[in-house]
Amino acid sequence: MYVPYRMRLILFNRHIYGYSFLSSLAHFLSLQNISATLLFANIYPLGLGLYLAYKNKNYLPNYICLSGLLLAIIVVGLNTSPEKFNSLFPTVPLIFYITLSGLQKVNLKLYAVLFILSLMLTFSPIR
Amino acid sequence: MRNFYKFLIIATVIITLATRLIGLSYAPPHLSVDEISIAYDAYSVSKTLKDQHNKFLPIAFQSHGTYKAPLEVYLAILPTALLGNNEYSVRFPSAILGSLTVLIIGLFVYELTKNKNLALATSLCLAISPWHIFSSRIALESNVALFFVVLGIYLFFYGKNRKNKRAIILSFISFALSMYGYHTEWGFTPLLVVLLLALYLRKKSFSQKRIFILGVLLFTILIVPLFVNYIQNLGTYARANTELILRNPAFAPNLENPTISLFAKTRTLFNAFYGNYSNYVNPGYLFFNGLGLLPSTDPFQIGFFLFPFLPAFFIGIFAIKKYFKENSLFIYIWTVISPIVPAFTQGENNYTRNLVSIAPFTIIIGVGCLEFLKYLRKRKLIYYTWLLLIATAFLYFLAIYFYHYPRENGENFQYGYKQVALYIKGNYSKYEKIIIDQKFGEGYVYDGAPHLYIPYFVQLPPEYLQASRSDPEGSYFDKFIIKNVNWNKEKPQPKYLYIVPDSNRPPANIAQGLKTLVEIKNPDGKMAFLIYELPDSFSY
Repeated sequence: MYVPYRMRLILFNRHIYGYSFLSSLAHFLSLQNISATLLFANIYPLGLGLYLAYKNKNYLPNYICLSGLLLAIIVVGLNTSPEKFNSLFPTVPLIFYITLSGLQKVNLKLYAVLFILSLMLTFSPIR
Repeated sequence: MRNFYKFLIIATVIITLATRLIGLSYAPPHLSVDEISIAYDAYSVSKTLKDQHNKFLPIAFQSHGTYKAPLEVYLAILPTALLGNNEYSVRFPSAILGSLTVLIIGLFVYELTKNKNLALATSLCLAISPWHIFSSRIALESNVALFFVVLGIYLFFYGKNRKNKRAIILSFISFALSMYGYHTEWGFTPLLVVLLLALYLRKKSFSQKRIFILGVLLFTILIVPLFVNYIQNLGTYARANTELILRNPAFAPNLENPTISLFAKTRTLFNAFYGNYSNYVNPGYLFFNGLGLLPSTDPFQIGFFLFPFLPAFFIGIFAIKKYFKENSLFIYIWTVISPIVPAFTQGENNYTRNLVSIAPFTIIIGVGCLEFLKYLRKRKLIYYTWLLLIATAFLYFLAIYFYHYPRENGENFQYGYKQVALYIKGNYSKYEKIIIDQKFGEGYVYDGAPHLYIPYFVQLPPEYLQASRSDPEGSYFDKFIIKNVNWNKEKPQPKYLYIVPDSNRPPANIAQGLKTLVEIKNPDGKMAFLIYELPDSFSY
């Protein structure tokens, strides 16, 4: 048992599950995981879409979508498998919606460059 | 409200100074191998104007197979001269500049937003950041460089907004000093300078640009010696060169393979870079386990920032524009470019190389905190729960850092050499030869740096080490012999002092004659070093 013993007795109770859940979720939210699902270039419109959602509280379609997102987040947090992309499937429509909303605001030239770069990096020959 | 604001300012100052200056000789428990190199060079230069390798006022200090940036060493000279050879002398510059970074980042945020609450929130977030506390308590080159980067940016905006030429010139001097502070800044600072000029000078007339052009010229002139020195010592920057992503053994052979297309090579490199970049900005790494104070099996790890700040970080990313308005683009680009240089290096994530990211990340968290608190104002239960969670996480970090960490990590800091040196210092005249094993730790596998620890804490005149000689067996200076002690070949004699790690105790036939003078234990109670002598009355 590591010291400080008393401190850890206070902290090492059921709260550790909450901490592990948040840690697992935070580790999942890496750029690499997101771009593996959406393509590298689409992080740009996704970010803009999220910004629009942040600015406008009535932006997100309805509570069913939010519930789906919450459910997916819980599953991602609880899933201990390193391959947990599938946990995000229930939220694919919402992520697409946010990404497409952001797409309306992107700088098209920059997005085109990023998109072509993404395709080349994803589908180009290894040798 | 005004009293509460004053209370928060005083609390920030107290937390900053207390967490960075108290107990520097205790936590971390011993000078690390990098710190002793800085400490010894500062001591050597303060006495002889030459470093341990007999170089006169070097621009880069040779250390453990590579070269160190010079600023930290030169800053440690004055405290060493005033306070003597101890942990405080070498850690003091980093601790003081770390404390000042907390102040400067607040002033910078205030300069750009004129929002006192945000400035205070940002300073407080940095003051309680485990990453910054940890970095400020060791003689860390990147922490010194961070101070000069933040100071340079603050002075740039201060000078630009007030048309203060002196501040603008000082900002470019500060940027140049940051490059003398740490190697990450060799790539980062020029990028930052270009960014600032591109964003803020585009629409200015030539007469308005003149002072900035002068600043850039001065900046260029000031960093020339650094690059001249680099080119002169190109072959000796061995470690710095092998740290580059290009040298990654996983794909380095492919990069040199002529049958693989240039595009495929570029793709490989980009993917490696992007993977590193993603790891450096991974929220899990930043908020949950980046600092690695506890063993990796421990579920309750500590991140670079306290984990309750995670929602503030995400909110802050979107709220930057609201507070920084036309300057928000600068904050965004600063955030994006900060991890670029460390992402070009290979190996596991390195908190030192990426320390330059702490400033924009803290600003984002500060903005997020302010927004989050506004949102929670009418939700008192969540409001107080969140604040309680932050306080608990901070106290937990302090308890781990000041109680657990020094006890469990003695060996990582080569604990024991200082204690050995203090024994030698008190008994120096009794011995003709002092033989020190250069290995330490369990398993007898790690190479230590007793050739620096011992003369530093013994306060041996630096001329002795400068005149040291070495052969395949070991190195020799004054009455010291540093080598791998092989007891089968050793013939102990009276007036010889032996210092060996617990993992290299003498065999029974030799041990019977030796007298154990001192047993030095690590803070966790494990034996570290043993000091032996052969009594005058005994002969083999």
